Amino acid sequence: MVGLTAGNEGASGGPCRPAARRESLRSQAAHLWLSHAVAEGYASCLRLLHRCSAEDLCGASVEDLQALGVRARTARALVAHRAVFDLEAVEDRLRSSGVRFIPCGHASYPLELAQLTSPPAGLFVSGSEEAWTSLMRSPRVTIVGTRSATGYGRRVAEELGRVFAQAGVVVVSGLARGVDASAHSGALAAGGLTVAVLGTGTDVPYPSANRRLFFDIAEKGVVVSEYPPGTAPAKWRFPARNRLMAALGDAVVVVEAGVPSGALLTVDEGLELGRPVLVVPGPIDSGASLGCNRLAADGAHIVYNVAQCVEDYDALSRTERCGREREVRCARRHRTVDPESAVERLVLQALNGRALSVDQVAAAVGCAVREVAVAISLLELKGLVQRRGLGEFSLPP
Amino acid sequence: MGTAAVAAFALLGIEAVPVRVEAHVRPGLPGVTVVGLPDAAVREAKERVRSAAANAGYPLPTQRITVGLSPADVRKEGPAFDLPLALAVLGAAGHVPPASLRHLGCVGELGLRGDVRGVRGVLAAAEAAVRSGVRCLLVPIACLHEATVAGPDIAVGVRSLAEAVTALRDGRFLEVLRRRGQRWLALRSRYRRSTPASPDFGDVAGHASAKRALEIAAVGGHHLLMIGPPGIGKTMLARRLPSIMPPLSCKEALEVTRIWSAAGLLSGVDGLVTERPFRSPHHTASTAALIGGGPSPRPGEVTLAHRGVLFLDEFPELSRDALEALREPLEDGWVLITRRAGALRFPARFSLIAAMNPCPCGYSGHPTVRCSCSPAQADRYRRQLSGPLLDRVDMLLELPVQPVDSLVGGRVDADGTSAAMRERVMAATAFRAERIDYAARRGFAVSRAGDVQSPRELEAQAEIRGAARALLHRFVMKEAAGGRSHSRLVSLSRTIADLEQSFAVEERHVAEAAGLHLKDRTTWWA
Repeated sequence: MVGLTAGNEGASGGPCRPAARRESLRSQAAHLWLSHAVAEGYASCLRLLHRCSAEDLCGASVEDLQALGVRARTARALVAHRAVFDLEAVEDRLRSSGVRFIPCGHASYPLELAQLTSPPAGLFVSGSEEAWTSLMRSPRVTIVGTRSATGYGRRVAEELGRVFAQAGVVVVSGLARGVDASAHSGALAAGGLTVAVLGTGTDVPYPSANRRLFFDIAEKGVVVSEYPPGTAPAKWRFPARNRLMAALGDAVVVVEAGVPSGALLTVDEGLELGRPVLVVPGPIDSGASLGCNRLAADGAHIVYNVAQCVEDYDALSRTERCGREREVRCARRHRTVDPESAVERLVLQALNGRALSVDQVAAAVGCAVREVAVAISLLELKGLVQRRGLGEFSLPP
Repeated sequence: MGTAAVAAFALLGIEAVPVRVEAHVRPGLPGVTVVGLPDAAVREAKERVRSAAANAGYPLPTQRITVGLSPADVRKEGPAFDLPLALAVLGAAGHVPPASLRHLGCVGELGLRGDVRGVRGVLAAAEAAVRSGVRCLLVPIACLHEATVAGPDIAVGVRSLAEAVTALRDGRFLEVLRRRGQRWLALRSRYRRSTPASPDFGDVAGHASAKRALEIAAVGGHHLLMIGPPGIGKTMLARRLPSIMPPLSCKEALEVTRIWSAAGLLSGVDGLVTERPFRSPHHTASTAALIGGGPSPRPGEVTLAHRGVLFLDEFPELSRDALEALREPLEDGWVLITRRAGALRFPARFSLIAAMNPCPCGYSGHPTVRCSCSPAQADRYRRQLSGPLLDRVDMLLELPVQPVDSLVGGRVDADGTSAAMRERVMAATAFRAERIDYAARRGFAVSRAGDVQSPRELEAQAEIRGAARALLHRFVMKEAAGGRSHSRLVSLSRTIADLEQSFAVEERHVAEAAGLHLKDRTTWWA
């Protein structure tokens, strides 16, 4: 047993700036302990991270904790838990399992998580370092939905996973059965990056049906959890991880959700954080789509077409992504498909305020019909031009 | 007195199968019996043969004559068996040396005076004769040009039964007939009716995008549906399509000639058909006339348009049955006609050019004229064309009303004349052939040029890569188009790239193809 406050202070000192290094080590140890405490059920103390540091919590006495608003019983239990916490064993286990720990406040810790009312004390991450860095820089979308998905839900989720991955958007989901699994596998199939946020330790493949998917993601993507390795599944941890999913994505897409459902909890978390919510509508007599349809009725953005969904995501989540190096590739590809070609600009000008046929546009802009046909086709794809009447085109209203 | 046998040919659809005609003359009550599944025309042949033989100077013996046609389970029809029947009987009666009938084949109808008349399907018969090792094929001289196409060495044209018998008795006269045939063919080609030139695209003012679409159709054999108000020029455009089509290759010409020969349409043509067929049946055509059929199936319009154009004006006015029956040939390039007696496969790789009005009155969507159709009427009209049918049409083209000033001036730039368009089409066709050749050399499976390609084959050869492929995906996703649409798009993009003689399909090709193909087929003209 190692007392943490006195803790590892003398354990190691780097050749340069030993004080700073000691400081960071102590901070890491404090966050590790806090993570374990959270996994044990003392999640309520995470709120305190907005008021004091993990080190403070680590060194606090029962009275100190009570002063911060922790109930006496919980405070005593926390102090007792800290007393028996075996830091070396935990660090050994981390090393042997290849799981990295990113404490709150670390440079790699996602800022989005710090916005949460209960930010995780740290993240346990399996997956390559590059995957994590590129994940931090990429646009992300959270795809959630029911575990008992219908064929429709699975199909749409997979398709969404695929198109988002193709557009360079990281797909965040929870590795649950149904929609989650489909979204992950769609993204993997398209060769994209995907993140599984678990409610267990990152070395616990749960549910076992997704075992293979779990290892695939750990290899090609990132598996992340706020719980230390070895944490077994428990009912209460899954809703808790939903807040991580909501925070990690720049928008939440709900594929199928019953009422009540975990997916709706994620949506609530997302709304709390101001994330745009996109819902995939379903048949109104399908229980699995009830939550989605209700969200749609409440004004959530409706996904009416898979390809369009990426563009809507791009438009809606701009503020979420602003200031960060996060460009949706589909938008960039747009521009390469058509570097806003001269002909296209001319066509748009010619169509301003009137409806014309391809021939008439060609006559108006003085280009070959072939070029105008290409331009109009591309503009139509982008929704900048609309078909109207018999062979005529106009600008959308 | 005894037996003799000669080879004849039964026409099955557009192919011929050899039939052995055997005659046996024996003492007994005079009379002729024909056995071996003859139809009424073949049964009646005995009366024609009797008169013809008498008038040729070789009266039939007043004995019992039995004629057997084998194989006995193939139905024999039509008058083409007259000549073989007569020669077999005369052989059995001793007027013709039986040895001369050994490697002989013949086809032809007999007149009562002994003259030999032309029949359908001589080309197919000549092909079958070559296949079955016949050394001399007697054909009506009116059909000599057909037979010469397939078997120039064996075909001999005869005018009458007397000539045929003389030739068989004396080999020198056969040579005389051969030389006469050559002279006749030479004369025929000199006086051959020149085919009237197809009208020129230069007559059509405006409609640049329609001309472009027709150019694409001419290169790739794509199906096109034009839609527009009355008098806009749909028919005018379609009728000018033959003027820009590339000529038939030798192989295609033989296919077309065989069909036309079987349909009895070759009379005005010198030997091979070299022009691409252009068929424009009236919209009251029955399903059988369009697709082919009858108790012993004959090719319909889709088959007669093989390797050419089938123009269907007033498309939705065709009967629903006829329209739906078009689905298979549109997709597969052939039709399978199944009757009790068996199934026949007719080639039908044509380019469908269909034209229609947007509604029964024709003025829906017109900028100035008010449409007088009730919604129900318009709806019914539209529903006449089913989704599956429209799905098979590669290009949907709306022809908007042309501003009057563009018509009155009548100015057509040089790009819009048949000569310029034909030049581009020919260059593209040549490039396409070269490209397919190259694909074959690289080991891709290549079906015969111009045939319907399987989606996999198409994909493998299309050379759509990178950004173009991504764009194609976006288009397909946006319209939620199905697999067929996808492969139609690939094929259309490929043709457009061929027109530019570009080996790779680029984004602009895909975009243009999508503009022509991807339309909401249930509402796009409403």
